[in-house]
Amino acid sequence: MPGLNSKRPTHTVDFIPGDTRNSVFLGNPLLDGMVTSIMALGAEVWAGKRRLKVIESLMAAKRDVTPAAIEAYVPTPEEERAWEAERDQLVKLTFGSLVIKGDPPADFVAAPTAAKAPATPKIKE
Amino acid sequence: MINRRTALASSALVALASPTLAASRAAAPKGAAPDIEPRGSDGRLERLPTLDLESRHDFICGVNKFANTELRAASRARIGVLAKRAGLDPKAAVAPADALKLFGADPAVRIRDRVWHSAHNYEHDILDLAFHSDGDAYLAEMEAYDKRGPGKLILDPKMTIPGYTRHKIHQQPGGYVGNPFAGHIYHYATNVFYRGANDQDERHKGYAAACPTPADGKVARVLDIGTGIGQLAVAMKEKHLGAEVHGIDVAAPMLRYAHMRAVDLGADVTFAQKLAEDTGYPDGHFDIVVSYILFHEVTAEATKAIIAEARRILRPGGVFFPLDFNTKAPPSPEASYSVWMDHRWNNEVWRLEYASLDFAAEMAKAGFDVADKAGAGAGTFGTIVGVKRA
Repeated sequence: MPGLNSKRPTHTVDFIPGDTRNSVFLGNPLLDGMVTSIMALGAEVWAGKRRLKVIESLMAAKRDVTPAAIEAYVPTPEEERAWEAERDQLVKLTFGSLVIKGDPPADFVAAPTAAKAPATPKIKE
Repeated sequence: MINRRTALASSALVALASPTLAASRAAAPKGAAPDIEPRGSDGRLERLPTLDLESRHDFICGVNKFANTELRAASRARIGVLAKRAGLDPKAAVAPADALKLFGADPAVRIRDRVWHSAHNYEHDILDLAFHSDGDAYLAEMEAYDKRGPGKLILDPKMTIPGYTRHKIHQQPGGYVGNPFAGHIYHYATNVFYRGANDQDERHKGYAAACPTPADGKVARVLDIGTGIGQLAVAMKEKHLGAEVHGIDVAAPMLRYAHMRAVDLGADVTFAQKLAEDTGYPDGHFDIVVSYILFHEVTAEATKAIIAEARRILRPGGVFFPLDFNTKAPPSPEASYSVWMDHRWNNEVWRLEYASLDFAAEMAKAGFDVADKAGAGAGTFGTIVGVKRA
């Protein structure tokens, strides 16, 4: 968890972290990590594109283009629909190659994945 | 909160001129409780604090949609092919270990799991970072709301939090009890799951509408057990305006967010930190007891205890309306694999225990008259209704 710069009460207790962040689905943790990396980069591309769209909308409406106006901008319903369609297209172009159909190649050897959940850890109550 | 089509309040615009949330607090009138809402609200949903965060979140909504449509369709198709080759009955359950062995090695299945898993983790990370990075401000906001009404918040700092509730349920950072911003994270991360269809609490309003009223029509007190961020409790209050509505949960951070949100929505709901299996309410106290996706996140032992407690605190003729996965859903090899994945890699620690129960039968054993008569709007949830025998 990120650090917390506060002395206020958090009303939290200890928790059991689990091991799901260690999941390996693709046989190599680096490959798994690359999927997450591509996703993070896609999110940054979309954040940049969306910011540009907001700026264009403000300019088209001849409104002031300031950091405050950009942050506060509320897209119209038409813009929301169009932006969502463009987002979905970006996602499809980014991840569409991962839609696998049919049998894998004959020489494909699947790497093992964890078969059993670990014993449920205990925590002092 | 303001309607999204309404211009932002001038104080919010002033606050936006400064890059930090501290400035937005400074813009609040002296002595007023801080309400950190730098970008206003989209109806009932406060907009995320920065455009960039909102855009990253939006991208993950798109990824989730893709993972649950195209990637899932490819994964399902492969499971169907592999199940057929193995001679499995397409309408029968498969033991989790067998499902994993048969399907868990296929690339189409694995990549769907990977993308879904990565999206979930990324979403949690960006939200956790955002709320922690201005943590003092968000804690100050909750502190101020803790004491405000309508409604009230009752925390129990001396309460023993059972070990079974302390897991990082569905991978949420810190789980429900270990992260001060558990409510904030839960709200926005589950909105990805709902893909925009619950931003205005539409689901919870639908469930509240579908919840039967006792036969005599009397609804003076309603309880939402495992209330989380209070969406169903608020929806029940909005349905039964004259009733006293309570929401209980083991997790203080979730309750603090629930109360803060209810105050913003003007809903007079009492949120209290209590164990669902030992609420401390008098016998026959409530007319209706509801729950939303609580039971698959507790042990089978706790489930039985909670059902018994719900019966104890309901008055004769009172209604118990638990909303959760249908434990008698039609089985299939794909469903078996999905439940195992949810348990193992989504950290739904008690999902298999829940799936092994016949929930309606457990309610009947506890003394409820059980019927499958939930109304439209309940979707696959809410198919079970229990009435406490007079």
